[in-house]
Amino acid sequence: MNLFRALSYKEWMKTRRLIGVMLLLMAAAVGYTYIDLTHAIRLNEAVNVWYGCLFQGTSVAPWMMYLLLLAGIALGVVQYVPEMTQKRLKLTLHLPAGETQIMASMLWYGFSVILLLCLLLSLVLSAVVRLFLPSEIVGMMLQQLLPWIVAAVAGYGFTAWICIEPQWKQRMLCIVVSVGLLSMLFVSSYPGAYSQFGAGIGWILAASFIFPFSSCIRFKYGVQ
Amino acid sequence: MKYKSLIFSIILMSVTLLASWTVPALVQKMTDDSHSYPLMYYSARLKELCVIDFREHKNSFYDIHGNEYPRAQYDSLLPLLNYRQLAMEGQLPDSLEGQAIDVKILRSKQVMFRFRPVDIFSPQPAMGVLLEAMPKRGNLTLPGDYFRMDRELTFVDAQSNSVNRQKSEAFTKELIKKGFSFPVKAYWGNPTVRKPYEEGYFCLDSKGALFHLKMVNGRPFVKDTGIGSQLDIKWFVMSETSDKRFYGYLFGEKGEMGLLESTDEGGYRFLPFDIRPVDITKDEISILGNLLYWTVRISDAEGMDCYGLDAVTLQSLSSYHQDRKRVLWDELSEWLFPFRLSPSSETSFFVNLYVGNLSSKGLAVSFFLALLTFFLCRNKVSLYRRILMALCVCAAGLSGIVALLFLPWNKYE
Repeated sequence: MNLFRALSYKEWMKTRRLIGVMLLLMAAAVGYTYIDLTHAIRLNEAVNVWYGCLFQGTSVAPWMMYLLLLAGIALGVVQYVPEMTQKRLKLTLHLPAGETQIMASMLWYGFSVILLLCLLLSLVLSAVVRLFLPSEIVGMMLQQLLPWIVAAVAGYGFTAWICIEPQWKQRMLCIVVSVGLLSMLFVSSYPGAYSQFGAGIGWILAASFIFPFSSCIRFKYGVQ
Repeated sequence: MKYKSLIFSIILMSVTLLASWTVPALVQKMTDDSHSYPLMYYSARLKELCVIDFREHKNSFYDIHGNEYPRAQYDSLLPLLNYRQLAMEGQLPDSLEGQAIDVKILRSKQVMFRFRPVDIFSPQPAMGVLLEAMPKRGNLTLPGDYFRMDRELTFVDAQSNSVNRQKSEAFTKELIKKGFSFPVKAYWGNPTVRKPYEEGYFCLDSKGALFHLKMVNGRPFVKDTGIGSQLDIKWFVMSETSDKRFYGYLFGEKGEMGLLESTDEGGYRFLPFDIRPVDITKDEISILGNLLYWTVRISDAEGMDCYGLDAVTLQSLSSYHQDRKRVLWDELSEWLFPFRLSPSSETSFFVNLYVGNLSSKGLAVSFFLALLTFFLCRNKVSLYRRILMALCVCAAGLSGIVALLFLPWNKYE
């Protein structure tokens, strides 16, 4: 078996249970959105629900703000905490491949999983919401989900950065920086507020991918 | 591992950018003070603009020439601002400047308007709602459908979530018949039932003509206002006021601002304000109007301009300028930070990377701090990193110094 396929398989073994739980949670979230929306339409009439979404910025699925970020952080914890507590990372970095490539493949695995989950959720949620609301409101919902999806992906990367960091003092500083960068994605929850934040999104995503390598270097050099 | 230095550089720059947002924001929270301007109002008694600031001067107010008036005369010298209080005390005059007044008339002629650049730079509603302009029961209600307007006008029924073809075709045909050229550039309305009456929407067609669109007895009412040929329209704010004198506030591309008035013949007229050119991307505008005079206040980052206008002609009777008050934050930020990064802005609702507070004094201080950083770290890190750190401090000043505290100090180089 190819080394990187084997590495991905190792990551899959570590995270498969969590992925299952996340899929269940996301299915529950979509189910709840369906119930919540039909309930609101029964009680307040469709015309008022549409009005709230179009003119008052009412969110169709507001709890996604927390759910997606938590999913990203949980995946990072499940993937990297065992590596650190059971000293597996040291062995992994001694495999017959470049350390950068090994680390990148582990990160790519996580980024791909969390991105796929978010895209799947967005797709199913859009299909459900479209049953009752026009394409404009579905578009607004997707615009609202965008910074939260980025937060999930970046949250995973920053969690990896924090988990791999070998020194507790530096780990605390990493947490502060991560919270600062992620908080940029929660300045506003109004749909469409992040439509001009492309450069910022690119910066945060790039940072979340590159920062873990810094901890990896420090870990490799045995910083205590 | 490869790219050690590159990774360090990216972390350093990212943390510096982050600190350029958080550190100035914290210092501002600690040192900032109110920049608000006093209440300005054109007095019908004094025939002059009055400056009312009871926080600064508890027992008096002034006119713009510095004449002081005791607070006890506040109601009587500004009767059109304080008419409710005067009426309650039974001291409201019967007439002013030859015009009979009572509470009902004054209330119907009262105008309050506020405009901020954020109103433009914010996500606009993706659909509109056209209320019945002549409702059978008097009060306005939501019609049950919403419209989208791009290459045609399409009504979507909310209950069935499907297009109402018949209504869509009727309205689109009427628009085309009256000379409307699709696709629409912009449309402005006031989508709420909490207003005295409905005037529908004003739509700017692809050729720059402004059309009035409303629904009367379920049928379309479309009329070319003719304003598009007089003014290059930039923005419009709909305002259904009690006396039905005007439809709203029009802004032109060249800084014009005025009322879109209804004429006696049922037509439309642009009546400009006699004020300085307005930049709606930067200026905040507030209007307090009454039966006789309107007070218009325009403020930006530099200061506030205020005008007392005749209510009928909108010609300027008096004007006043006040510079923006400088507070401790303004002084400090000039020296501590050569620039400031922020994800939010006072003039835009959109989240973005806004760069502001550019200061040459801050850059000079930063340069000194950068030299200090370069020499103090000479035994701790390599020359490459020292140069990089000094550059970050030079660019970000105090924020750069704070950023350095968050960096891993590697001893494995």
